[in-house]
Amino acid sequence: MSEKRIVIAGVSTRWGSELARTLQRRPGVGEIISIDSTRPTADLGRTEFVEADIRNPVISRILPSLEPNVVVHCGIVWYPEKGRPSRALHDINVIGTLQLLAACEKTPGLEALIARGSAAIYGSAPGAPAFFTEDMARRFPLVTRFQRDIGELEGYFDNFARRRPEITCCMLRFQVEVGPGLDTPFNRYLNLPVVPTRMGFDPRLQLLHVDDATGALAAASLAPVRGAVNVAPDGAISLSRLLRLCGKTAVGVPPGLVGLINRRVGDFLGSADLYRDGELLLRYGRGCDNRRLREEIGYELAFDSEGTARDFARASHGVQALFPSPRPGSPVRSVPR
Amino acid sequence: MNRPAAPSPELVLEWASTVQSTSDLILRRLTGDYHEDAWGFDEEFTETVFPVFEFLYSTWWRVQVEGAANVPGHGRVLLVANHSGTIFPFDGAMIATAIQKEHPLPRWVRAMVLNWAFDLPFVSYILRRLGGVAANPANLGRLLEEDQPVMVFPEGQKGFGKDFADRYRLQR
Repeated sequence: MSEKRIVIAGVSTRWGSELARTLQRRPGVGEIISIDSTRPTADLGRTEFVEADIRNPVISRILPSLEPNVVVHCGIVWYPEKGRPSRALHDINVIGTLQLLAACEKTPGLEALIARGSAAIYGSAPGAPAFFTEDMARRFPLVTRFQRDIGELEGYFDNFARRRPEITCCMLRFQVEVGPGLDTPFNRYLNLPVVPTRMGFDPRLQLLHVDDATGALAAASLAPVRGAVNVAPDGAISLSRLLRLCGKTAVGVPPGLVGLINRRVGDFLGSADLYRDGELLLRYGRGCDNRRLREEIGYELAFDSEGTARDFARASHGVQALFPSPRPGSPVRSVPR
Repeated sequence: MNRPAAPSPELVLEWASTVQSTSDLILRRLTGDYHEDAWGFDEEFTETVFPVFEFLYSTWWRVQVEGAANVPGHGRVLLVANHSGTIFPFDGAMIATAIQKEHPLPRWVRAMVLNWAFDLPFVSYILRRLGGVAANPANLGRLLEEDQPVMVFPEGQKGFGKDFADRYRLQR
């Protein structure tokens, strides 16, 4: 069997560069070529880098010249940040994916296309199924801007898969990721000294460990299946228990103040706003079924939701040591975890 | 004049162990070191508030149960009943309590709960910790696949406003 040539789009995101570093250690992987509009800061080893913007139609000429067997799209951005408002996300996510699909259409010899999407397409609703399976994607109306973007993008992706049945198209729907050293609004939220939660609500969350997120993406890139696949851990954990494991103080914010506090917290977290998806997630939570990931892709998850929470808690206690607690050696802290 | 007798050493030890275990429980809860299942059901929490349901069961309503042992002790079970116009679903809680108290192999019964209950502050997470699950076919199917006992009240929301004369008639 010949070695596969893999193209990774959106490599300057953390997920893209982690994937490149994981794949180049795997057997059966040939050349890895990465594409992005900005040069990645991480050291990518033997991975080549081509500077190109997937939103630009020029990508239709660049991609066929790279002769890839597999294309992995890691350029889908989940949350707005300073200087990248939620309006810009539509441009990056939907237009970028559309141009990439157009380029894939003109690439002969392409075997598989994998995209790193989001489980946000299922939404967060009070009467939602406790475990969404892949066929439940549009069961609830897409209420947030990001959900509509993802819905539109998956629509294009499905159409492409139908038009080109010889290409294995795999859309991965990732749950919220948590892990030591990860810098996302949700991780920054958990690292706040005092964590504001919505009073009277305790969402049920599934926390995907960063190592599992990279591992699942690499496994799916090497053995893709058709259609959507949830990337979610086993089990679930409630936000209150997660914060207790981390030794954080949660403060319930009454309904009238939620908007104001979230805006302030969002500013503090460096996200333009505590984006609406996050707000809904922290109110109702979300759970996904991971049987397709385990049985069809065959990826064994290393952490369940509780394990991820405990791993994150261990790491964040190290950070806390820089700022000693006002009562060192207090009995609650010395209870073995 | 009689002075009250000093409590026996056994009694003092019992009090001390109660204090110890209660404070252990509180510390464990505060540090998050307890178990929740994938559905958000918290068995320890349910056991802690169970005396309230026990009181309602045996003292307040003096519930009488016939044939509780006919409910299978293993595998999937679907218990179907009717709320008959109650806003507070204590009948559901009493069925679960009856299974706990009268059944030879007690299990915690999951209840299918109306969706809007999960939009109410406090109620939402208390119900979930007690074993409540949003009522939809996907959840019911999955619970039965996991061989859990499940309670369903098919009348649901429609039973709220019905007349007293219709009390034994299912609203459709």
